Amino acid sequence: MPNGTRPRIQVKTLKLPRVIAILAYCAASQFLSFVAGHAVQATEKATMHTASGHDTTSAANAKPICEVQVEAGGDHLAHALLEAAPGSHLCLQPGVHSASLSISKSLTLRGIAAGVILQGSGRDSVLRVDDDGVALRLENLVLQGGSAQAGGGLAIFGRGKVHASDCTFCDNTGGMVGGGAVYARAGMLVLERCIFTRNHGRQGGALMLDMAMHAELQRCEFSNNTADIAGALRISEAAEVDLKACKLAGNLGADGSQVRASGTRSRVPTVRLDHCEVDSGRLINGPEIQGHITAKGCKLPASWKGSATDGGGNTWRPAI
Amino acid sequence: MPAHDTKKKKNQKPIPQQPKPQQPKPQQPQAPVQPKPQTPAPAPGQPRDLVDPSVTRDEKTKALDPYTYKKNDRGAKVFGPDGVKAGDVQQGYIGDCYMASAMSAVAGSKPDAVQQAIKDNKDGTFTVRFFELDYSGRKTAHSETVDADLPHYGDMPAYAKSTEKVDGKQYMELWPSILEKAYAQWKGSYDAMGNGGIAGDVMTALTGERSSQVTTAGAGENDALWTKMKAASDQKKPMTAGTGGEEDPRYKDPKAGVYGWHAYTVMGVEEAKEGDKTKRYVVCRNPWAKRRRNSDAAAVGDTTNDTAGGVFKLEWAEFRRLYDNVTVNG
Repeated sequence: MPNGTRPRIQVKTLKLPRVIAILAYCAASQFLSFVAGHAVQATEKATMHTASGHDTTSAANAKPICEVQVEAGGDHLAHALLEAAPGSHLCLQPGVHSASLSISKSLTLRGIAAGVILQGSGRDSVLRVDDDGVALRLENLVLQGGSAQAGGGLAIFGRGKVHASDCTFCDNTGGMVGGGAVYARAGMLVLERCIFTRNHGRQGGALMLDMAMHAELQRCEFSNNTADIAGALRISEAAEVDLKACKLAGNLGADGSQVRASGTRSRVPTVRLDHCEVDSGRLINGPEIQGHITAKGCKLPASWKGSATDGGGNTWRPAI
Repeated sequence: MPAHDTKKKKNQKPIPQQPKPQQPKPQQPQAPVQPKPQTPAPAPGQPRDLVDPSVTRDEKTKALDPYTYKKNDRGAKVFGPDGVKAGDVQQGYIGDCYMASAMSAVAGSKPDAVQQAIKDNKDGTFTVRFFELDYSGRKTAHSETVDADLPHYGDMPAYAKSTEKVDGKQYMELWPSILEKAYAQWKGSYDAMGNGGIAGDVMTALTGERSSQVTTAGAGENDALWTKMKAASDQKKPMTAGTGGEEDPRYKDPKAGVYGWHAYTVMGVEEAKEGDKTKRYVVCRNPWAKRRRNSDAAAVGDTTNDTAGGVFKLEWAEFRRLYDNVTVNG
């Protein structure tokens, strides 16, 4: 294999107490998500599909497909990604997998139990998708410790489809542009039952959804993310986003907002909130060029009332 | 806080604003046509008011806006007698290094693209054509019309500007300021585009070509990246490079002369025979138009800091150590 064609691997030497602390916090978050997620999955069985359209579970008790088993530690994951055939399902063992990897072919990365951690090197996103046409599915993983200009946990520049379920994004940084956990600007992004905590981005502590892309977030939770602009979500340009049954709590933007959406003079974003809960903080729509924001069946701070279109069934309450 | 922002804050001084009369927003197709309100003549010695109200909001709040808008009445022209060059661009007190580095990259590689993007309407306004990509990746054009009234800090434009000596005289070209102002108007305000961004988007906006970003990390000498950058350099494709976190130890040493969370223009790559070896270099440009902060330059005895225009050369390994990603347009 010639030099330079392999995905990058940066093995970060961590002191033991740091490792334990990270594992304890993020794995605990993921475990809770994992349990909650499988309770939900019991009623949604056989509806999950890979990004490429193949069933991952054909029956309620069927074992998930795993063409490749990946042990934790070292650069096993990088090697496995190199050798995996497009469309493969890689099953990752619990433990820390060194990441900061570019994904250039359609794959499923599946954590086979709680505590499967993809550890960023601190010099790039934990995972990047640069190429068009890539269908990536992430299941039951923790993405942490990434640092990039945009999307410390996951950066999506290519026009494809990324589907993450039961994943936890924590302690990632998108410091120059934004999206501490995830930055996405093209294609389709689906996030189900994912947890975003303690990420930091310049714009969008957890997520920055930019340019022309579609996103669907279901039952995701955002807490304790921070940013200069929009503690939880930053939505701009022509991004179109659906949030269903998501919870936002304690995400702090220096501008006072948890969510900020703004467009340009040529296009505007669309944000639809459906049965979501937000504890406090502002929704900033614009301020110069506003997006289309609607909320229905949500519990929202009263201050949001003037910034979003009331789709009915909302509860407006004083900020906590 | 990014290095460029540090620069901005350091120079921020609240200055009382002149009251601004209500004026119609330009390019609002839905707005009914109404007689243009008369703008009061400025008092002698006072700056003229802004003609494009949609770009006034250039700081967190208008109250803290330290800048006043002035007409450039010192004989400045859109393009200088020496044409469009990468070295024309100097970033101002706003967090848009991505924009300044990208403008510089396109100016260096495809100066025609800059000249074709700006149309002088001969009435004091300029129409700038940008491109953007839709969900399917299709290219669409969008135009903005602005005048040349610019936010000033003292006698100089506060944001992107061009200052260089031509025939021994300080000469100012307006094109970087016009492009930046039109881009700010497109995005909503200087504030809307002044909190970081993607250099590739600006290059795409100017050339219509798609940009792709790649990481600098890789096995061995990362020949694949070198080959890509060498080809882009040979084919005159605009390139930029981005650094990692400003708290990273890589950027704490003033000898490095490279700052965290910052975007640079890649002017090109070079190969040089040294003995029996071929060494690789990357030529970079800091959009501040100087490589280092003055204090850092003094600390390391960098006597060329004010004369090199921000251009410097790094060995390939050092470039990959200091920079995390490269963006190529086209």
